[in-house]
Amino acid sequence: MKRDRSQWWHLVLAPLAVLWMVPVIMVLGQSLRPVSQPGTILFGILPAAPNLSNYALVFEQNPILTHLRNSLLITVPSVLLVVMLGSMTAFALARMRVPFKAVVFGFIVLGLVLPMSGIVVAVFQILQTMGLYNSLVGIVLSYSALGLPFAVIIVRTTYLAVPHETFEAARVDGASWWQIFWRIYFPLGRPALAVVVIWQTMLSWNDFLLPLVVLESTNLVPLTLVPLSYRGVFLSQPGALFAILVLISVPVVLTFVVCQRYLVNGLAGAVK
Amino acid sequence: MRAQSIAVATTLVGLVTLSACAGQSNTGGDGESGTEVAEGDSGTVSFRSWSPIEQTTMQMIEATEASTGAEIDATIFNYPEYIVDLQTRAGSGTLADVVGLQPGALTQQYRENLMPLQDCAEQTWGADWQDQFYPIGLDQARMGNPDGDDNFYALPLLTQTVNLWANSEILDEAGLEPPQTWDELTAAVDTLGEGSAVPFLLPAQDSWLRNVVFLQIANNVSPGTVYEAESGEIPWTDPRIVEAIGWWERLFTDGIAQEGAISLDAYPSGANQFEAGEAAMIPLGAWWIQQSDPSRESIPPLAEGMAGFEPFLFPTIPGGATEPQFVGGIDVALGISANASDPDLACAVLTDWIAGDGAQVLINTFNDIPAVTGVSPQEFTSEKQEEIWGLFVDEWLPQVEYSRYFEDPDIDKAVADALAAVATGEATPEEAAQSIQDAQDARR
Amino acid sequence: MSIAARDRLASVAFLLPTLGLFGVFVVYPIVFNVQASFLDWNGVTEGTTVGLSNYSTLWQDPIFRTTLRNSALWIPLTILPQAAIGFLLALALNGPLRGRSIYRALFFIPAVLSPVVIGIVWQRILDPSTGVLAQASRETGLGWLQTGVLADPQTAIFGVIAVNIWTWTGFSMLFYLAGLQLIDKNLLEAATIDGANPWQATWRITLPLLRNTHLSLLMLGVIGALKTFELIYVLTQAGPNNATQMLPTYAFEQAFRLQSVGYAGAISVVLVVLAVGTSLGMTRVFGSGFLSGADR
Repeated sequence: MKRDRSQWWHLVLAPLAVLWMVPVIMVLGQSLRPVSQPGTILFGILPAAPNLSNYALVFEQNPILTHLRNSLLITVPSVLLVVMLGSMTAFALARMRVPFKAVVFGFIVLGLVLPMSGIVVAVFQILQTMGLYNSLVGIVLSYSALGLPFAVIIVRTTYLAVPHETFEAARVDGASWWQIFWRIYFPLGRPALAVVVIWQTMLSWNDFLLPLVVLESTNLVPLTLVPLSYRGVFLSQPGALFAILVLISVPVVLTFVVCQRYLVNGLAGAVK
Repeated sequence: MRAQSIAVATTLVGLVTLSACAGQSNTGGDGESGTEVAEGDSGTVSFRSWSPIEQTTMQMIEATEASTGAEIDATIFNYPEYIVDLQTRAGSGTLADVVGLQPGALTQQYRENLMPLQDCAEQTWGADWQDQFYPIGLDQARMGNPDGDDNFYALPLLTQTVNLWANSEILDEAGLEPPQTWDELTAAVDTLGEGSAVPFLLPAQDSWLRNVVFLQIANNVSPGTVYEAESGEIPWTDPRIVEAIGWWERLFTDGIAQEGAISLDAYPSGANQFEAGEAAMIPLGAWWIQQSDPSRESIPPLAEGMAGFEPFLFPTIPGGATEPQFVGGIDVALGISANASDPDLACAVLTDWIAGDGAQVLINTFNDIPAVTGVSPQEFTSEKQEEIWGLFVDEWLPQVEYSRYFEDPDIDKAVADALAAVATGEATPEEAAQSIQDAQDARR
Repeated sequence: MSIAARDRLASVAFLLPTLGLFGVFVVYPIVFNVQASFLDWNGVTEGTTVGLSNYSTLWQDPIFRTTLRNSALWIPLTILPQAAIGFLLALALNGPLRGRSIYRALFFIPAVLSPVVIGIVWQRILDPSTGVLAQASRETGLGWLQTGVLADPQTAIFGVIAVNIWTWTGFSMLFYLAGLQLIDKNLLEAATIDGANPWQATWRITLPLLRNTHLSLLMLGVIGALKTFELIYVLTQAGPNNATQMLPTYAFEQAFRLQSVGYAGAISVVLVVLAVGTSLGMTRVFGSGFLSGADR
C-alpha cells in the first residue's frame, strides 16, 4: 500500500527532472557538436549532426590515461586522509574533553572560508619551502587541509546524534578512546562519510589552479589542466572543451552513484 | 595512552603511505617519458604562455628542437590562469625560461625578472635587427619603460590589427558590401535585420573587446586623441572623447548591436556563433584568419580557405577622420627569465620562434600575423585566404599607428567599466569620461 | 596521571594531525593576506608599507560596496530556495520510490559539472538574442521567456543566483538525505499512530530533528556565498559594469589583473572577517552547542 502511494511522486519528479536536465543535455550536446557542422536543432540545445569527433580529438591530443592516473593519485589519498582525520577530529569535538573546544572549532571553520584564488600564492610558498614543489604530495596535503572543515562539521553532526548511552556503556566496559571511535562511531558515521567522500572528491578532482602553479612536470599533471588548452582568448574549440569536461565529470558522478547507497541505513536501527 | 599512540601511528602510516604512493608517481612518471629533465638542467628550455595555442606550440617545438638542439618543455593555458601562474612564479624564482607577455603593465611588472633582449636580437639578426619588425610591435614592446631605460624586455612574436569581420555569404545574399561609413553600417543593420542572422554581433562582455572597439571608434572620430588623454596632455572629458563614447553608446541605443550584447562573451560564444554563420558582422581582429588553419582537424565550411569571411575596417564616423584608422599591436610577446639556466639557448629558441624555423611553422597555421615581415605561410588553401593574408601583412599592419592597449591596467579597467556603464544606460558619455578622468587622477 | 589529564591528552592526539595541517595550510595563507593588506605591492617586486590605507580606500570603493550588497542578496536568496527544494527532494527520494537512485543522481549532476561548462551553457540559454530561451520564445510566442536578465546590471545578480541554485540544490538534497538517516523512524511511526498526518509529522518532527543539518547547511551556504568565484568568472565576468562582482572575483581582479596584491589582501581579510563573524554570530543566535558540540 505504502509503496503504491509513494509512486505518485513520479508525477512531480519526472517533469522536474527533465527540466533540471536541460542544461546538462545541452552540455552533452555541445560535446557532440562537430566543428565542421556547427548547426543546431531544438532551440540550440542539440547539434544537428552529432558525432564523437571532439572526444576523438581530446584523446588524440592528450595522454588522457596519464592525466587520469595523476588525478587519482591526488584524489584518492586526499579522500582517505580527510575521511580518517576528519572523523577523528569530529569524534574528539563531539565526545571528548577538548581544551578550548569552541576556539578549536572556530579555527577549523576558518579553513572553509578561503577561496583557492586568494591563497594560491601563499600555498605555493609553503610547498616550495617544504620542498614539495612539483610534487603531488603537497597538493594532496593542501586539499586535505581545505576539505577537513567540511568533514568535521558533517561527521560531528552524525556523532552527536548517536545516543549518549551507547558511549557511556562502552566507557563503563573499559574500552579505550580509540576503540570507542573505531568500533562504534566510525561505522555509524557512514551516511555522513558518504557525503564527505563526495565533497572531497569534487574538491580535489575539480580544482586546477593549485596543480597548475605547483606542478612543473607535464607527466604529473591531472586531468583538470587539460581543458585549459581548449579555452581562452583567441581560441575557439568549445566542442573539445565540453568533451573533456564531460569526461572529467564522469568519475565524480560514479562516485556519487556508489556513495549514495550508503544514504539508506537508518542510524537508529544500527544503534539498537 | 594507547588510544593516543594508535592515533598517532595511524596518521603516520597514512602519511607515509601517501608520500610513498605520490612519490612513486613522481619517479615513475620521470622514468616513463625518458625526456623529463628537472628545471635548471642545461639543454632544456621551459616555456609557459597563453598563446600561441597548444596545438600550434607543439608543432613549433618540433621544428625548433630540430634547429636549435634544445629540449623544450611547454605549458599553454588560458590567460586568466596564466597571469596567476606568472605572478606566483616570478615572486618565487620559478619563472619559466621563456614566458609569454603582453605589452605594457604585464611586461613592466616583471622587468626585474626579465633579461634585456637587444643583445640576443643583435647577435642573431645583426645590427639592423629592428628593421624586420613592424614598427607598432617594437613601440609596444617598450611601452611603459621608465625614462632612460631603452631595453627590450620582451620581443613581439605575433602582431595584429583589430578590425571587423563580415560573413561574405550573408552580405552577398542581402546585396551588401561591408559598410565603410557609419550610415552604411546602420543601413546594413536595417537591411540584415529581416534575416535570421544577427546583423552586428557585439560580444561586449569582455573588457578587452569593449576597449578595442572603442579605440577604433575613438581614433576614427579624432585620430590619436585618446592617447593624449592617457598621457595627461588633455583631460578625458575632452569633447572629442565624449563624442567617441557617444558613438559607442549609439551601438546600443540605435539597435546596431544585438540585444543583450553586454552579456555575451567573445570566446567561445561570440566566435562560435559567427563561425557557425549565425551573425553577419563581428568586431574581432586579424587573428580570425586562424579559423582557416589547414592543420585543424576539421574546418567549418565558412572558414575553409576563409571562403565565408572577409575583414573590413571600422566605418568612418560623420565629422571624424575621412579614412578609417588602423588600430592594433602585439598579440603576444616573448621574454626570457633573468634566471634562465641557459640564456643563450633560450635566446636561440626565442629568435627561432620569432623569425626562424619555428616561426615558419607558427605562420603556416595562420595563428596570427607575424611580428616580422617576410614570413609567409608556405601554403594557402584558397586565393581568398592569400588575398586576406596579403591585405593584413602588406597593407594594414605596416600602417598601424594606434595601440589597442592602454599602458596602465587601472586606466584599462576604468575605460572598460565606463563603456559598460554607458552600454547599460547607467552613465551618460559625459559621466563616463569623468569617471575615467577620476581614475586617472587617483593614480597620480 | 589523572583520568582527566589522560583524556585531555588523548583528545589532543585525535586532533593533532588536523591541527597540524591547518597550522600550515590555513593559518599561513591568512597571515600572508593580512601582511599583504598593509602593503602597496604588485606581488613581484618589493612592496612598501602603507599602513591602513588599503582599508580606507576599500571603504570608499563603490565596487567594494557592490560586492557587499551582492553577498547580502546572495546569502538568503540561494540558501532558502536551495534548502527548501533540497529538503523536499530528499523527503521524496528517501522513501521506497522506484528509480530513486536515478533521480538522486540526476538532481546531483549539476553540482559535479565544471563551472566552466555551466557558465558557457547558461550564457547560451539566457542570451536574449540567440539563446535557447529567446529561440523558444520566438517559436512559441511566449514573450516572457526571452530575458535579458544577465545584460541588465539591476537583474544580473539574480540571474547568477538562479544558476547557482540550479547547480547546488542537489547538494542540499544530499545533505538532507544524510540528515534523514539520523532520525529514529520510531518517532515518526509513533506520531502517525497518534493520528498525525504525514504533513504534520514532517513539520513537527522531521524538520525540528534536522536542526543540525539546517544549521550546517546555513553555515556552508553563507561561507559558500562569500567565496563564490568561478561561476561568476565564467558566466558574467563580474559584469555588466561590475554588477555581479563578489569579494573573491574582485580580489582576483585586483591581485592579478590590476597588480594590486596589497589591495586584494585587504579584500580577502574582509572576506575572512565576515565569514568568521557570521559563524560566531550564528553560535550566538543558535546556541554554542551547534559549533562547540556541547549540546548534549
